[in-house]
Amino acid sequence: MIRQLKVDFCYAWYSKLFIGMLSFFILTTLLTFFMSDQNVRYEYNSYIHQLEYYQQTGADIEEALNTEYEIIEDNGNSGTIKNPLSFHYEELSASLYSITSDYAFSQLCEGGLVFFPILASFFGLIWATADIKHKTLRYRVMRLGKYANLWSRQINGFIILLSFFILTIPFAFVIQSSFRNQFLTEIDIDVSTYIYASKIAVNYAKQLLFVIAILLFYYEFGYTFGNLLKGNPVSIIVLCIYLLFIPPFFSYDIANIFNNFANTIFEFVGSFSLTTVLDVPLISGALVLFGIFFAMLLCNIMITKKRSSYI
Amino acid sequence: MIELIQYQKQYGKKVIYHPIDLVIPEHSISFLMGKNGCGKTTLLKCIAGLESYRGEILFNGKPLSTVREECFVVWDDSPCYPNLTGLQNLYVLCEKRSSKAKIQQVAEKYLEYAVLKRKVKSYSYGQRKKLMLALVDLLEPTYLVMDEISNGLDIDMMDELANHLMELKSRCTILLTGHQFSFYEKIAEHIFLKKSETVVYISPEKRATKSLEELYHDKTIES
Repeated sequence: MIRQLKVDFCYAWYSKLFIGMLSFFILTTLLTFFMSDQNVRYEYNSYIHQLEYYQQTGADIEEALNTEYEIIEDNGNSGTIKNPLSFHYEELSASLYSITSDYAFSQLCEGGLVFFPILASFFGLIWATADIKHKTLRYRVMRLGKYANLWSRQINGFIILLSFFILTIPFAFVIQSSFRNQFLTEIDIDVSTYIYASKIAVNYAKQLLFVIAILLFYYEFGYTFGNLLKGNPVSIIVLCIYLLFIPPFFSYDIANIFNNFANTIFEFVGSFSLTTVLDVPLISGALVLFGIFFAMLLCNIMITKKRSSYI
Repeated sequence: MIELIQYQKQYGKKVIYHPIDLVIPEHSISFLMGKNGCGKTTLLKCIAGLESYRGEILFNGKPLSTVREECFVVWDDSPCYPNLTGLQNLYVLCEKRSSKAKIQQVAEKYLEYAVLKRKVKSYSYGQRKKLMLALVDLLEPTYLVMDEISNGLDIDMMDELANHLMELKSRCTILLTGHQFSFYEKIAEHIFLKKSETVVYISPEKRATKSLEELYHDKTIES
């Protein structure tokens, strides 16, 4: 098993798949923190704009900041904010908190909710089809056996995928630190005066488990697709359409279930937020995810059993 | 040795092999000949465990599951990872069983270093075959099957391959398939002919009287 893991790592390295995927992980991380940086600048400008308006009109700024704001929705798509200064102050506080190193890991994971399904699915698809495409499956099945090959290939692929995420974490801190330093250099702001009270207790272990679950689920999703369609371009097109263009359209949709879990684990004070989340009981949502996951495993087992390994 | 006991194979209703019993002796070179599409490669796929079949295939009395690491098949199309170099292919396909230095040393017996550093997608058919021969040397299988190994090899390489197989047979059970009778005639000790849905063993007496080509065309050989 360890030897096969080394062999698979070796292949991933020599084929540039390792560097390629890691680059995509880092690129999406860069995008995540760039958006976070843009978000804090936007919130800062919005707050300053409100502050200047209050100053011009002679309104009591201190009273406004000490009073809660209220959002009155008109028809679900728009609304008015009572006490906008307080609102923008809180938004700015939240966004400043999101660029602190305490929030770096959380921000990475929140961005992962958007990017990791795509990255994990495509990696799973590529991983499943490499040996099929190049016909080297014959060697692997002969030397390992059908099922041993299936399990080692899947497990090793997931380990490699996880290593991308782990290697991205230090990059996340460095990238965030760079953006933060640049922001604080350009904008004269005393960050300590903007205090944000977290609404959800930060639990890094839960966040890590959540990301692992996303990676595993979508990796298996892509792997199953690739295995089923033998890497046919149709599989890539279908994956793209599902992951990029189809929003969650019913409550037990995979993305919606993950969003429900994400709402209990992340605060989304950075650049990402969940707009449309249909409520789903977490236990039944988890059962659905487990069910789909095991169905995918079973699908791979059946394909292995029925299909000739002489590709 | 490789033993087929009541081996049979069919695809849907099409019978490729009726139940047959066959022994491929150890420490010798056996050659299976037959027409294109008659089922030679099908037999190899089953020996390699790539397809299902009925009956048993045993390796010195043991099933494939217990001797996998002792088996290797060199396929006609020599599949490799085209986006990797020749050396990188060997590092991966060799399953980390040899050091890089040893892999390079063995590989250079078959291909020049400059070729080994190129991506396999630029290789010719014969160069890919040579890469596979290097892999055989590195994996040192006890059961070696080669599908149309002589195809694509230059005359020098064919002579070297013949000598190499003669050396290998002392520790290997070797089964070859192919169509270049002049090559196999020199080295094969046991001849099998795929005829209809069975395999006929050509006895040494019969072989002594006719060439492989004559045996191939001999309509008197009963299936």
